[in-house]
Amino acid sequence: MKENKIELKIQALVDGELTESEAEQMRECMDNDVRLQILYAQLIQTKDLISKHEMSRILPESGDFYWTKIAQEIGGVEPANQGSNNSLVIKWLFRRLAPLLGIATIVLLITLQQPSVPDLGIEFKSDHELELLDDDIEVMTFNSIDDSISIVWLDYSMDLQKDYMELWLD
Amino acid sequence: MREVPDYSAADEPRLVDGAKSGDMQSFEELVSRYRDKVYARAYSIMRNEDLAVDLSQNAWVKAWQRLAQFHGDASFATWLNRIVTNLCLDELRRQKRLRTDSIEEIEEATGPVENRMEIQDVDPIAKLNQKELRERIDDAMDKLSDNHRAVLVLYEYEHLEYKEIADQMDTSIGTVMSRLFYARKKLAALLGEELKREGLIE
Repeated sequence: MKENKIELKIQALVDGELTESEAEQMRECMDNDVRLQILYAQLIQTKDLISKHEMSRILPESGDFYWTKIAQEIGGVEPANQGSNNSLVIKWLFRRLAPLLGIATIVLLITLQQPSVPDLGIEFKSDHELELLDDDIEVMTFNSIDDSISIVWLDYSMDLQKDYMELWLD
Repeated sequence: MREVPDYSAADEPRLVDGAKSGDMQSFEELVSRYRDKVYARAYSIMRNEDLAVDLSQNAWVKAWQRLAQFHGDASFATWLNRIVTNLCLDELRRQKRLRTDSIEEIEEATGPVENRMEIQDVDPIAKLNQKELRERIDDAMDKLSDNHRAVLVLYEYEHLEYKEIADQMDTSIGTVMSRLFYARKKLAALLGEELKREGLIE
């Protein structure tokens, strides 16, 4: 084992970071090496010294002043409590449902763009004929699903057309 | 008449629950209880008063935003210290991008410093009183590089394991071990030098 690696292993032994078998191996190494024994003792001493003498410090400004800045930063912002859990659930659901919603929207748009018979108060009489309830206008349609064709005949009576024209010209 | 809660007498779990439900006064009380500790942790890593104040305040803001993630597995103070420590490490990373590595760190990477520096026997320090001792150790910590000091603080004061430090510092366990070893050696050497200067040891 390299010199430097042994030293790091000794340190790991001091820090309790070795497995039992590794620790045993290092103890055997130390048994035959006074220099390692000294290093082990010094590391324990240094570790002990540092860990037990942390400098305590006091905030160099007033507590109120310190709090004011924090309060300004968090003011108006709710802590991420239960609400955030809910929002996480919502986000998760949204992530899962977004593709489905997208597909549903596309299907809906396609459906709405399909030509449809306007609601003119027309009653279907048969496959290819419609009749207006209004006596003045006659409508006939021919639908062929196979050929995707719809033909519509609108038949205004001459009197009615004349009335509309006069009304429009006035 | 509604009773005004006595925040200063409230126990910690109650204050945490209050803060979680949006009660700023509960949170303010927590800040007042732990602000010195959080600041001290930031200072121990950054060694700069203004930066330590700013980072500790940022830690409180982050704590407020992440209160839901605190489940009481560790103490509230420990949880806060982890937050401020992470912020300090982020700041060190940011600073490191702005400057080249110190000679100390370059030497550490190539190895000669560790090989030639003997660890000092720090036993004579026992002659000093506790306050003096703390100050000496703190002065010596000041002279360590940011990375060495950070590893030492995380290990000795935050009680993290090698693996946890490696994860937090985005480095390998080997580097953590090496930095820790170097930091301890250097600290002991610095203390020894100072004591020699003062005639406390020969």
